[in-house]
Amino acid sequence: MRAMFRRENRLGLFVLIPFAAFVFLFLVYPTLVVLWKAITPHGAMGTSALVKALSGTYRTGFIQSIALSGWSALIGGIIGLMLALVIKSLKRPKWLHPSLDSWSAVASQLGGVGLAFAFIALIGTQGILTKVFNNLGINLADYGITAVGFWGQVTVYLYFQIPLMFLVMMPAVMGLKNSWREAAAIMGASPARYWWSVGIPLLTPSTLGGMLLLFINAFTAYATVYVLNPSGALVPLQIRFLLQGNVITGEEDLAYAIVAWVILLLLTGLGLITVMQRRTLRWSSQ
Amino acid sequence: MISESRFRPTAILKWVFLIAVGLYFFLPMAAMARFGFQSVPTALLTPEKLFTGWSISGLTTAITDPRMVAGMRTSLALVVLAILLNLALLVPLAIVTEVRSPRLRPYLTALTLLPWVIPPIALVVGVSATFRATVPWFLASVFSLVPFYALWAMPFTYRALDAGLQAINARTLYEASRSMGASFWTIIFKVLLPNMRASMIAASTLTAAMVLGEFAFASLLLKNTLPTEMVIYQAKNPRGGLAFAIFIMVLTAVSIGLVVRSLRRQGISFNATGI
Amino acid sequence: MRKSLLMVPVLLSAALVASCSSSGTASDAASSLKSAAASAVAGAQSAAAGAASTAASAAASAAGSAVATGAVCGDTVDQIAAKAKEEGNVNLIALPDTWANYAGILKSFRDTYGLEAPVATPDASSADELTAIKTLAGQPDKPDSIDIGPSFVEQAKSEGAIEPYKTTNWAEIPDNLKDPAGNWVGAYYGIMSIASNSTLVKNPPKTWADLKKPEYKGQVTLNGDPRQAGAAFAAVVAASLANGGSYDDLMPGIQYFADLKKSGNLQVIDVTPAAMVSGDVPIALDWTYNFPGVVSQMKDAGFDLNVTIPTDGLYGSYYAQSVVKDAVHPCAARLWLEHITGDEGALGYLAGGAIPARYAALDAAGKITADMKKSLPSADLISKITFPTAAQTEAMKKQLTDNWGPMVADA
Repeated sequence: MRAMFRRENRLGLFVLIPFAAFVFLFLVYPTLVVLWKAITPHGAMGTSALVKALSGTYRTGFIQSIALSGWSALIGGIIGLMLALVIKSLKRPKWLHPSLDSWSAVASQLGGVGLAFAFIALIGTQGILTKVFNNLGINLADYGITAVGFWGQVTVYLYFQIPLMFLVMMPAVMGLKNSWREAAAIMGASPARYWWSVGIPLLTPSTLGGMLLLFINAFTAYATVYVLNPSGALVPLQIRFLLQGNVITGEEDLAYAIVAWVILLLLTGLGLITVMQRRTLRWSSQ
Repeated sequence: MISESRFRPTAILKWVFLIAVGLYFFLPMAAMARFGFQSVPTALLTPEKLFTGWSISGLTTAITDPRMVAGMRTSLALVVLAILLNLALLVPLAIVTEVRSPRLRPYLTALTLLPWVIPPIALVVGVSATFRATVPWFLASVFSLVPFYALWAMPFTYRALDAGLQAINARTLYEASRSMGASFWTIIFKVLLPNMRASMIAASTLTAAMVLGEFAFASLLLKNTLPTEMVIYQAKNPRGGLAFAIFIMVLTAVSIGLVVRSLRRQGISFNATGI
Repeated sequence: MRKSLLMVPVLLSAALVASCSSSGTASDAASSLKSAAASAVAGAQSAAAGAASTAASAAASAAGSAVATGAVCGDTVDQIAAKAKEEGNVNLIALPDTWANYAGILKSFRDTYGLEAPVATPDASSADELTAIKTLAGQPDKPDSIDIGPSFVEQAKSEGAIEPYKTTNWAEIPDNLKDPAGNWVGAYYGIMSIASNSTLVKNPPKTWADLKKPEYKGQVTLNGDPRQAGAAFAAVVAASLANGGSYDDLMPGIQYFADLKKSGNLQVIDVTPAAMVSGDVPIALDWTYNFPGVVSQMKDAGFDLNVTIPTDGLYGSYYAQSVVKDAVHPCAARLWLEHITGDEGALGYLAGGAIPARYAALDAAGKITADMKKSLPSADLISKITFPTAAQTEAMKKQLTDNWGPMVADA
């Protein structure tokens, strides 16, 4: 018996070490390189770059990025969750569930020039929907339905946030067995009571975890927003100005400092997701 | 059995919601398709002109453009290699975790999410500095993207594999097989892996969708993959470029749909596999 | 520990390469050792790294160092072309087809000299080009020649990315379009212009002052953010000149755009070809040479494009081309510079709406037809164009970085 487990221990290490080495080589070490550069601006140790990275226009950038990612994660999360719940409860038509699965797989990866332009083509100043409504005498822009501006960007981000949430939440939602609901009904609980006592507590950890995932996903995206608002005060854009532009030179250290703060922020989010996941584990049959 | 009639009004609400969400997803793509296939701009569009100027010439020119073709080939190769590397890394890991130490699951899920935490530009800067000094030929090849794509797909893949293992109660299966005298490798190859087929397929389709849509890394490492070539083409030829984008999207969705359908035929639900 | 294990096969193969190469010169070994050490992360691995990359690039630089001076490639274009043909190809980067008619210029280069001349990543920025030189050091597809914004020249020089080369027609290139030591040449320049979709904009604006009029509300669009895109930066400089600023003071330009944003005239989306063809960008501010590429597609859509050069704020700028140091195909790189500064290249740029460096010489030789002159600003306007010095550009960039965010972007 003991010999068996020892062998499995070795196998465990045999699997874990290459994986850890791979992650170290391609992820951890390069990140450490960047973090090192962030704390050694112009070659000397110091926090000057780190401090500058949180001041003035860069502070605005962080606040805007957090707002954009936060709102798109919250709204996208709620709609994605509702979508998952609705799909689970509707048995007909049969093609609905699988179609949404495949569409979500593709849509969650969408972004960039194509997506931004799709919205411009729809509700931009020359958008087709704008034109249709103009002919009916309604100016969509007056109602805030445009492709530009903060809420325009949130609307565009939702396009990949909702499918991502759907993909992430489906397993948890499918895990809500119908038998529980029926049992609750038999015991006299109303649907509202069922949700309050059973459904919501079960789903909350995964939901919050999913929303945090959406937040992380949105934070580092830049291709989409560059088309909609290249001057936007958003962190990924600012990093791009400093490291990848045609105008500013010599400010790489500042860019690395911004990156360091981003990593810190997102790692915190990741930590929170882990805490959520551990709570989910308590519910599952282990 | 609870009578369905109690829930009729909520059924209507559900459908209204679905249609609203469906419109939200459909309309922008329709607008993009209209722009791609009809050469009349919205500003000059009148009811009479509604059916003029439609053609797929933009799409056909794009598909036959040599750079695009090269990009498609490169991206397909990257898809295959990324899937293989990803599965090779994560299948053993998922099995070992589920069987030996399930409590590690949240930590591993967090670990697999790490790639998303690092902005692509930062990763590329770090990677260049690291590899340039030691193995410069690595960064020069387009296949240097493969490890990063394998990493980037980890969040999806690990979830799928892990949920798949949980669904088949891998731990119990393993110990039951053990107690019946099966050797370690027999269990892996004859018991666990065949049952993981569905989750591996699900994981692969998501990796494929990701690789075909990934732009940031590829453009930062100055590689020519399908997404980067599409952006270049869109600058030269907006109409054709966007028609092609719609085409690729539909093609990918249909392919994934076929995969999901064949899984269903075998009685395996895409979602039970964790995606 | 894993890193040093990785060293073993690398060093072995490096040793093999080194033993095969004919004459790794000592100075090359020293300089590539130094540059490898400088770019290594924590100095600890520099010794091993230096040896590896020295050996890896020895093969490339053995050929490169021997022809580092133009003299060895040839004194006339024909001689250089012959040597280039031997090298077989030239690696180019960041030359979009629709930018200043590079499609036509590349075609004439390929047809005349029979070289394939592939262009890597046409949309790469100047910073990306310098990164590519570093990332692809010692590789066969390292860029041989680059085309960068003037603010990047200093960085290119200090990074040791470029080497001097004076083309055969050096004397005919104006002083303000070349580096005295030959480090770069500005083969073409463009002028900041206002392009209006005249189908949608009934009364196209003609000057910077015009753009402030309320009738253009929500229509004026920049090509990107000035902190990122050279064209947008140039628009701010031109607006500054039109409003009392100078190459030493960019604030009037920043204030101008702040006013435009406040009045709602400035539209925030990016000038992309798709947006121009769809009519979402009624008025675009961009280089003269960026519009010819999109005119035909706009015509297909039924739109007319009207390009005007505002006389109240006249600003032109060039892009700097250089030969990359330790290029894989050094003679072909020189041939490329000869081509773009030569007559064929110049006529190509003219067709794309850019002004070639040797415009005066070509005009004197009667090679510029009246037709070509039609699409260009008048001769005396051209003669009025001056370029800022490197120091002035640096100062303007600093003003921009400090003020554009608070005053325009975040406002």
